[in-house]
Amino acid sequence: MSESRGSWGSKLGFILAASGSAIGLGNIVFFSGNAYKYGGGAFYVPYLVALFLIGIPVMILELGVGRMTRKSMPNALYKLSGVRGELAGWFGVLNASIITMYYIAILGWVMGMWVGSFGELWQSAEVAKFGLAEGTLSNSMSYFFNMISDINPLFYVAIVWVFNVLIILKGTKTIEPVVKVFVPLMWLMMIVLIVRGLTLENGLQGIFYLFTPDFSVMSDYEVWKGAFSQMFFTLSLGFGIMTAYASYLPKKSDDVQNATTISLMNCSFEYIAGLAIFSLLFAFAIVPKTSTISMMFFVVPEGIARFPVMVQTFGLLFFTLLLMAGLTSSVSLVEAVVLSIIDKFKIARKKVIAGVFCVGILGSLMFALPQVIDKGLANDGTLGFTLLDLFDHWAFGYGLLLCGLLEVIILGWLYDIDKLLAFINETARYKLGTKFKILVRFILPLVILAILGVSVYNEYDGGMYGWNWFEEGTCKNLYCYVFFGWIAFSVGGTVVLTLIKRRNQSEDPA
Amino acid sequence: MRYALCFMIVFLCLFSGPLRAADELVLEKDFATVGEPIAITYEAENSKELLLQVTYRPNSETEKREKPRSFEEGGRLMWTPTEPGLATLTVMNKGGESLASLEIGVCFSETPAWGIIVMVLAGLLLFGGAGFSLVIALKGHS
Repeated sequence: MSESRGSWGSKLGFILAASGSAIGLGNIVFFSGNAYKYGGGAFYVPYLVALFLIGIPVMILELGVGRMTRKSMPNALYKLSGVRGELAGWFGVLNASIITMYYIAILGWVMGMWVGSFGELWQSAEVAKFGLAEGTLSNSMSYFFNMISDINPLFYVAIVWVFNVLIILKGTKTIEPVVKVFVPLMWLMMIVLIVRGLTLENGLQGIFYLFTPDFSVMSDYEVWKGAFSQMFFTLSLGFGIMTAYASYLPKKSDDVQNATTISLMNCSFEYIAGLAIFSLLFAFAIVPKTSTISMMFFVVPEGIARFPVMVQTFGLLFFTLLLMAGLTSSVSLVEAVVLSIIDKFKIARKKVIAGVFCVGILGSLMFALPQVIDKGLANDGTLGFTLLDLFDHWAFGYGLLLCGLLEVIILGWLYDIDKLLAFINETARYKLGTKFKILVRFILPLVILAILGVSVYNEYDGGMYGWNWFEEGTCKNLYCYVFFGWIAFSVGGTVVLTLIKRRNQSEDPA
Repeated sequence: MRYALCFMIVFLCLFSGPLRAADELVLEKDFATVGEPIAITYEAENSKELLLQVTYRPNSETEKREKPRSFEEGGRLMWTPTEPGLATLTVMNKGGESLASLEIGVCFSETPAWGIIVMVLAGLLLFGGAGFSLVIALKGHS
């Protein structure tokens, strides 16, 4: 294997690719959902604290590790702290690959809605398939259910996978031109949606509603947990993406500068997405549901359907925006997996992409198949595609935070953090000092542990869909099966991939 | 697959309930405003036995509920909102069963100072910071 690893053509290319990775479906709908749930403006205080306390610091670490080792996450951590590091790295990558599979399944549904937004989605829907009279469901809802009961989403999923493969085919050479077009377009489209939202009757009241704080919720730990979790997820931390992307950077890049730029761009996008969505929600008095999926497929389209003019145009704009945001994120997820395999086994890029495509598309198709609808649907708006929800519960809710925890423990305790900081400071305009070291070694692990602790407590307290093995004491439901499936794939796969001998022994830790 | 469709039918029926019933609950205006009374009408034979439950910020951690109030003769009721934002109005019978519901936006009575402060500060911090660091990054400092 003598292929060149490649590098970013420009600094702008890297910043757009990394911010494009961070800006995904979650930024557009998940943030607004959380802001509504946790008291509007009051959510901004813990959110901003989380940005500076956890978001930017962890991103600096991930970028620094990638640039220092010029390797993807498992191989970078192996180089810094041996087999323990590699185990943590592969766990992160395999966990991310599960998320990639269902993320692309959701993107397949987005594509289905995009196709529908050319006309059918906004017309009076036929819901006879479900035995309901016409007009008993909102158009978006009935269109969505009709769509997913059909075979079409499987084709959409395949198309999204093909797009992903084409974009990453030649690494940075193909990723960079795509993000240079997509990311500015995403900003432009979002600005058009804000202008539309603000020109609706009382659209501005929605903005006031988003930002006016209800300080009574500030003492609620759930608000803080929500903000800190949101920050971890929104910046694509724990996936190994930032390390993979940074491994393509020139040696002289400024990690502190890059991390700050990417994080602030990502959060600015969430800010404007909040403006667009809240003006829409208020103008049409639509109560957001807790599920990101219902916000994306029902709530916002329902608002767009009530626009007095140009419904089709704005609908198309919204789903195009979702598709672009989703693609720039999924591409980075797939690239992180591909690069990890290339770095360790020195297999040709095209062969690795072919392998990841075959496994990935099978997984995505499994998630795209219509699943049994859950009983929670009636009240909380959860779609309840059980399998997807459960994998998301474990891989996204726990996996990412676990990866983040392992990452800071390895870098803060098992590796000499001073060496990494010295490396970052060599090219940084703003130097990192003792306070940053304390943050990495003590505060970050404690904060992540606290979030995980609260999640485990809630697990014990509630479970999911009425399933809770702590009460039942047995594992005879899908909730447990999926947990063990997740563990078998990510932990089992981690052990196997770590045990297989690497092709280049000269990369062993010093 | 057949089971999945059966489940869908059941839960879509559950979902469709409030939408269908919401047509019967009528408000004097499209938007309410904090402190300004607004007339609510629900036409039913036994309207005096029905209650109106107002929920502010439904589905959120800051959800607040007003004490249920009875309708007057002719299914009319004057309601004065106390909280801005989204609210759900639910008509219930004495047994607590929901008969109809409607979502409404409640406007602020005056421009909220805290809202403007948070919006400007967060905007300045995020956009100002992003713009500033992007310009420096692209200048090629290393």
